[in-house]
Amino acid sequence: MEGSKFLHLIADIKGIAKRDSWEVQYNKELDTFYWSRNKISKDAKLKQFLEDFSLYITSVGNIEGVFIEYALTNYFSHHKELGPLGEILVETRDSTGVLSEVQETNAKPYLDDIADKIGSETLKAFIKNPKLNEVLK
Amino acid sequence: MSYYQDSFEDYGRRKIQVNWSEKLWAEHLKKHSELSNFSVASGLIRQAISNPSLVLQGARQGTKELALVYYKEISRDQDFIKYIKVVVGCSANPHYVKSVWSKEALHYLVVQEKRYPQFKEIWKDPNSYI
Repeated sequence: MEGSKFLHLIADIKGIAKRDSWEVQYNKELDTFYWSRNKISKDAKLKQFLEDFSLYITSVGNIEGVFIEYALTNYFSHHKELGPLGEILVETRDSTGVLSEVQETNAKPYLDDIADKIGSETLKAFIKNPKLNEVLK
Repeated sequence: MSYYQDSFEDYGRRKIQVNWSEKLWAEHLKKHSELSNFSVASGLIRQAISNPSLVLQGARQGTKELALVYYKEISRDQDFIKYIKVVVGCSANPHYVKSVWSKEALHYLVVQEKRYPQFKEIWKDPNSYI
């Protein structure tokens, strides 16, 4: 996989999410947050090179989603500006909750914010530490 | 009757079961394609709990339910570790599998529970990098 392709795509993660109709799935029991394609490709692997989130990346460098463990107890609690999205997640209907259409609409600006954060943090991390390219192989 | 059902014994001879509904199986499979089928999923669970690299026990912040968290190192390439993680709920006997997945991460990012003092390490393989 070419690292440059991945870095190009991560800078446009918001556009990818829109184009591929990423959806939110929150598991209350595990406090896990998925924002991804409905069904992850068999080829995609979860890779983590920053503390708070993992990315689904295929062997050719395509990005299929974001996965956050300890979402409310860690990530959202450290980003107070995402509070309203945290409240939406708490309201999901069951333990493997997918957001309703209204909730998705209300969540949109906060998901855009998450995309911006993930894109910029990942780019900074790769610039600071080129060894991170190893995980893309 | 569960859709995906299996029984296991962990490294400490604890009885552990998986009892997932069809919906729960589908939700896991959608996001963790490495599970592939029941046989592969059971293989990953068995591998992680019978010969783990690291096991922690604790309750997630805001909950009272104790959980066992098993990590199994699969391979290491420079700073990156490929591993399996299995979370087991302890509020019933036998204990029950809540999740299983595999991931690749920088070695110092693998164990998410390190951030939470309520999780205590109860087993560690001295030969593992995790």
